[in-house]
Amino acid sequence: MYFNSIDFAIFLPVVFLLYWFVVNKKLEHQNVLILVSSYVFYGWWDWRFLSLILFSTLIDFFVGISLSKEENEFKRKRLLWLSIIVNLGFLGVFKYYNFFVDNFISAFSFFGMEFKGQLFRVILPVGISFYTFQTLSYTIDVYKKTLKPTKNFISFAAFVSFFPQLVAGPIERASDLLPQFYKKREFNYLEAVHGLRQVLWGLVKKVVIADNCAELVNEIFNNYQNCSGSTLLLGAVLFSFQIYGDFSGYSDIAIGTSRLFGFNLKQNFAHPYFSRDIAEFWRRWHISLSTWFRDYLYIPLGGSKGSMLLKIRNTFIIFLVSGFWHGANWTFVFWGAINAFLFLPILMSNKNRMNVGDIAPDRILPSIKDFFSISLTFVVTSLTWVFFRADNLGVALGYMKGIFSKSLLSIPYALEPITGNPILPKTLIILLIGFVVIEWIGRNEEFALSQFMRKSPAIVRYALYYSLIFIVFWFGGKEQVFIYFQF
Amino acid sequence: MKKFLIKSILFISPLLLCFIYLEVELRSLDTFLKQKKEYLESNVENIEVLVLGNSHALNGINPADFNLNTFNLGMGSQSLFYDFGITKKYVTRMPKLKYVLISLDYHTLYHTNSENRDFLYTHYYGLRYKEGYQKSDLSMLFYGFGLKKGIDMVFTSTPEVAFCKGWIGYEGSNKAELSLKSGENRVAFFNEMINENRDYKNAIVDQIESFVGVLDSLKIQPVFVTLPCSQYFKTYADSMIWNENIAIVKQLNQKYNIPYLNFYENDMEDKYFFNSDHMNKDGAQVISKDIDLFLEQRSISK
Repeated sequence: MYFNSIDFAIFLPVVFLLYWFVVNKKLEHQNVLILVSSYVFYGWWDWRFLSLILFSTLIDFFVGISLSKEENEFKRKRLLWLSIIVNLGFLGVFKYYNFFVDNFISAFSFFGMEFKGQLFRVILPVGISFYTFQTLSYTIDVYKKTLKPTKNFISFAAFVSFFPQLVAGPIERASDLLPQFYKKREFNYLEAVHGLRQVLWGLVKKVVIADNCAELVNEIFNNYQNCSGSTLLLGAVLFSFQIYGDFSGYSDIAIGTSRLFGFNLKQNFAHPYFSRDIAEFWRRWHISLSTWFRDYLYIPLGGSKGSMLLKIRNTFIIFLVSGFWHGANWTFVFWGAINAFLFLPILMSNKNRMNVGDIAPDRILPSIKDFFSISLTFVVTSLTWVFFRADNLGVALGYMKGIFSKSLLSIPYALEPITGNPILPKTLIILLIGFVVIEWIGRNEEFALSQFMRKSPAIVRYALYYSLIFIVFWFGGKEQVFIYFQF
Repeated sequence: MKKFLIKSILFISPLLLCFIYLEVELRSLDTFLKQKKEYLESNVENIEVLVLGNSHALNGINPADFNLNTFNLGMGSQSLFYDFGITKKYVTRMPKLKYVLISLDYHTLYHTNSENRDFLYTHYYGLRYKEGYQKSDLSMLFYGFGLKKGIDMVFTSTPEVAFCKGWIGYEGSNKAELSLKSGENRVAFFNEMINENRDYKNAIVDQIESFVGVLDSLKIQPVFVTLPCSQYFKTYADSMIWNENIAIVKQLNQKYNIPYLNFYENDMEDKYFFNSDHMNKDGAQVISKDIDLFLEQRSISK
């Protein structure tokens, strides 16, 4: 069930009331309820998905226990590889099998040979890329002995399937989230209220910003051959807003919902579009994934130690794997590669940690230098998103070619569906301007309206809540699937 | 916790009251479909000609131009499933019914239902395209109209349009929608539906045959009608689809001896159209008089 659905609006209060009124006396009961409700939540999409997550949970639970009992290094490694192979194996089969078969067929036919491969018609289980990485963090940390394995299956299963973040993250580390299942949660009024505020802001981002941008983005990308360069650029920029609103909105709802149950999840987006360079962008965008790759792939490969050549190699590996993680399509790999190339100059000049602090602290507006850096980073990022959004490389390259044409300097327009006449999406522009202003004001906070909502007088707060709810309902776009559900 | 619950209830209450108010209002709203149903039920015993179809029929056939007592049951995006369903509910109470005009357009044989309007037919007529409980049974506001549309419907008065015995007539032409681009977009819209629903064509033809059987048993004469479209629409319409439609109509025509009035082949001027595929008042008058003349001649010949 989607977070912005009536089904979830009924599901959440039911689980909430059961959690705090029926099962709150015992830790075990709390965890059982979390587990059951998470499986109901996940099974709502397709009950068949449950077998996969249960199997993955069982394997990693037993691997964890076995690792704690095993001292022989060879056998420990073998157990670790069992977990890696099972988890990545599921991912490989469900997500990448058809991609590899397709490409083998293409490669063989390029050389004039016929290769008959069997394609599977398989539904990609929602969230598989997220929960497999989450459980892998557990087995890897247990292997490295930085985390004690749990012997409580319920706690572990609840950690793996925790519904607020199961299908689209944040990808939580076992060392952060699992211990929270060991202690009975006590209701905290302020945390619960703060959680609801974050959920509300997340809904605004998803339903108002992302879904409204999506309608126009779809129109432009589907008809890119007939659009001017400026319209294509507009489409790329709108997609930047769409993916940010969609994904960070989902994360806000996930984090806010978790707060209602006494759990703390890590921040997943730190206002990435105000980044001053590409390195900062990747420290602020999908933080849980980028830190996962940093800790479990980049650092084991050598990280930033060693020669520049090694650093470049590791950087490319991370970006390519990260791209590929997003989907079985060369566009994602290309997108990863482009980001790696963009990162390269900063890496080679050792300036990748130049912008690590708050953005324009104690200032109302950015300095001219910061404004230029932020704008440039945003435009460059928006252009890379074209590869992320396009159906295939041909479309992406055609789209980019269209942007950098003579019509780039013309006035962009959107096309009215019925008549095909150009129209100016006035409402959307106003919403986006308002959104950027609010995000800028709250750029150094956990989420944009966090401090405002905490510190304002009650009457102002309630007026804001009702206004945001009205905006969600009135300006909500046509419902779109969360982009990251496809990963 | 108690404080949280109390505050939450107090916060949600005004919203809930609004939603309940909107829900109640929507269920009793005076929509076109409701007006049609009320007219139908008040005049069921006197109707001699019944017009079925989607918005093409709704706008294109004016009962006022008929000598016989005619009622236009057509409605925007109304599929044959609902045309036939509604008719079957009332036909045994229509002792004077002589003719049923069935509008068959470019896309009719592929039009199964409109998911965003199915709930209306359930609400007003008890007809269900899909059996079993639907979410819209619980709430028309959230699962039927949607909140924004629902608020719009409750607080915006119904636009003034000519309404006569179920017919809704448009004044003049909408230049922006009477163009090659508009024609192209409309055809593209229908082609997408046709491509998605190709597998349903035979089932829809079966529905037609079943309905014709019901009418035949009651000695009511069905008449197929295809209304005109503008030159802009016809420029882009797929001739293969059109020819397939004609072939099916001819088959039914031969099998059941059903007259077919094909106005689509007529080249009518732009002044008779409101947009690329809907007639305006003037166009409706021309077509309605032609249909009436046909029915009159048929009655005389009998």
